[in-house]
Amino acid sequence: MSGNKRIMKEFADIQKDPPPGCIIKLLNEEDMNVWDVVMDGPADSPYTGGKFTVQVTLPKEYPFKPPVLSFRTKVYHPNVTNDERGAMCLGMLKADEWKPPNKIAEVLRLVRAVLAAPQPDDAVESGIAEQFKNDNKSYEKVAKEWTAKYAK
Amino acid sequence: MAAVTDDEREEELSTLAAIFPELVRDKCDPFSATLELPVTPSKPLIVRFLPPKRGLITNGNAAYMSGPSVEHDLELSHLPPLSLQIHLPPNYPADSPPKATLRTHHDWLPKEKLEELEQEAAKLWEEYGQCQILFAYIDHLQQSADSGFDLDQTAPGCLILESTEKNELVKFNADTILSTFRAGTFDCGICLEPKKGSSCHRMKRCGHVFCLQCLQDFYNNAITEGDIVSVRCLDPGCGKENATPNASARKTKRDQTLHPRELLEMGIHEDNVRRYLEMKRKKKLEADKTTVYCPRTWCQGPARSMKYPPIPADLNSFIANEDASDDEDAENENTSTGDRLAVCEKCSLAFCRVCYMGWHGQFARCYPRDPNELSAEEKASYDYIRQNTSPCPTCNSPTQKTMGCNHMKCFQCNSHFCYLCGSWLDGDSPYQHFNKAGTDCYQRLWELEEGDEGQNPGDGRGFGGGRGWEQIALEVARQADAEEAEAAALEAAQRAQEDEDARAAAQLAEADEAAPNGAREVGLENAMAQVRVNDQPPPPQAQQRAAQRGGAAGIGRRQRNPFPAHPPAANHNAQAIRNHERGAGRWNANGRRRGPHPPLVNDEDERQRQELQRFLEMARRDEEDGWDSDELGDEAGFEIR
Repeated sequence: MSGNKRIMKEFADIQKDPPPGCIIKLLNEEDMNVWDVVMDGPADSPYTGGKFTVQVTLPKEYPFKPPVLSFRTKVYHPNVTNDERGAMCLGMLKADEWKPPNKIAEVLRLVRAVLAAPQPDDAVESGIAEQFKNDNKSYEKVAKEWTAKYAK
Repeated sequence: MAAVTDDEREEELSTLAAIFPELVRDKCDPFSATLELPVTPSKPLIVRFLPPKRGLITNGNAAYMSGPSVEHDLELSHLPPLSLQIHLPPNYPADSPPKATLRTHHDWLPKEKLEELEQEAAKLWEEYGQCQILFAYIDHLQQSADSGFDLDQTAPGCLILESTEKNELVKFNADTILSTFRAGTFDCGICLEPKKGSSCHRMKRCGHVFCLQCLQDFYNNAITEGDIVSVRCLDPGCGKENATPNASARKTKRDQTLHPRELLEMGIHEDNVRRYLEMKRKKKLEADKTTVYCPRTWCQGPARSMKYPPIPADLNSFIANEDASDDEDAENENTSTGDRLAVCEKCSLAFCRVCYMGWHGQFARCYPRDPNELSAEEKASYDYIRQNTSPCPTCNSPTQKTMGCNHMKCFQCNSHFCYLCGSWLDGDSPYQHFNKAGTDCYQRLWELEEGDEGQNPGDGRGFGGGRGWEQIALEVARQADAEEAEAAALEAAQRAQEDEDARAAAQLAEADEAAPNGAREVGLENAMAQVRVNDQPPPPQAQQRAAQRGGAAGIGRRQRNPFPAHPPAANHNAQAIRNHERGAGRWNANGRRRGPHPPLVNDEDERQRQELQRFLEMARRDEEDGWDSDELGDEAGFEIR
């Protein structure tokens, strides 16, 4: 299948021109399907200054099936599950919205945009979403604390 | 002098041949040549095709004329080439102009226009001061072709042709588009490789281009997995503009999936295209609440329907029924009118869509079939669905959650809904429902994350989905049933006490043997009760009991609760059989004055008893038709005791 060749090509392209604030490596040199991304917390957000590790797993059907995202760094965010999976499932990452021409670079840009601007109405952590909407100050406070504590 | 002009003509033509390699020099006449000039106007040319000559058609007939016989406008971006024939006379360029002859294949360009263009050769020759003007002239023709020969400047604003030319011109246009596409190079957005146009496909609806290999891989995979909605254009932005988030737009959302013909053109195997169509049709049929299914349990095919015609053997002749808006009209159509006849498309059984019996004709009265007549298997499946699923609020497809959050999306009709309460959710912000304080589902997005496993509401507001009310109603009905059963049991216990001494130990053993039988024996048992009632008047107690077991009480219960939470199960039937045997035992004891342990076994009695056992055995295996009642000897001599 065309998958592997495409992954190599995408990896080469993303090394040449990485999305802003992202450093992308392979988790393990033999496996093209697990990418290790270190993402700077976007400026003007409570995550600024933090370094977030996001693991991008490309299923064997990639690019026919969407990549799976997993925050390895704990992050206080309405759209990231607060568990060991640290899953994010938004927009193009949803199985029925994924289209093969989408690329990892676009996915990472989306992730960073969502970090900067949470989408509380599409939240997976409803408690954080409520706080984000109704008590933004304390949301920012906790998010900053977590960033300082976990995302060093 | 002549030699000089010859040289000039020769020089001009060979220069021209260098610029236009497709220039063909005449073999016999060295100073004649032809050149085909492609006609591809920068703005597609509008061509109006007139209906065929209507010499004989009177006004009266004209009213009957349909489709092809009316005017028809088409936009064509490629037209058959303009063929230029040049002849350079001996005294060209000094003393006479070049002679140009123009024609077009299929004579699509009007004669007047051609003549006008031909004369322009001489005009140019004059204007340029009588020198070599062939290149300038050809350039002029090309520009003229590029602007569509200014045909849109003419009075009708377009080119007018007889419709007889239509097919040729349309074919030429399509062929040219195809060959330019094939000669081009495209970057496939899926494998990210540049590909020759000949190994690419351009989407019919939107024009996006992908390579054939990727498209085949993707669509074959999607069809194999049954993911029919993914069989659409793969461009990330494609179809987005239609899916605007306002409600009215969603209702009229167009089907984005591809036409089978396009899949075939991509080289997808016919078997897979057929599978795609069958699944698409099946999904529509199953999502349609008006679909009725064959009552034969081994068949259960859907009834034939005009709305979803079967897939034709020749897939190219398939006509997509894209109208999604016709459901409402069709809904009333079926049941309210007298049209109850349904024909199964699998086994061709003709049946009534109301009572699910074999077709009884248009004039027989019938009633919807009682759900209590479901077979044990159907019942089990029904109970499972009722207890472990939440129905889609739109299409009622049963949904069961195996894991994840309570935001569900129906696989059948794409509705977003809440697994807990069955509310519709807004597909663009589905989690709002769980984030609104004060509602029943507030902060319960992750409840039952590991799947529901048939869990029931503990706190009364738990899972029940859209079936929550159904569950509550059933619970009430079940309690009423239980009370009734308790009262009946009390009564039965009293009677059992009375019967106790009359019952023989051997018969008891027999009864227990016959007890663990399937659900089938309810009917059989009733039949046996009937036989006895007809043959000899049973004791009043037995009669009363028979009535309770069979008809009246059962119907009464049915009316109160069409779907008992605890359906009459095997032990109920066993009880019924035991009652029956008990009744028979007492009858024997009272009528024939036989003791609890019969000292003598009458041969005839024993034979009949064995026969009856055999009949029961066969009935259990559903083979009672093979039972020969003659084996029992005289009809009159046979008594069921």
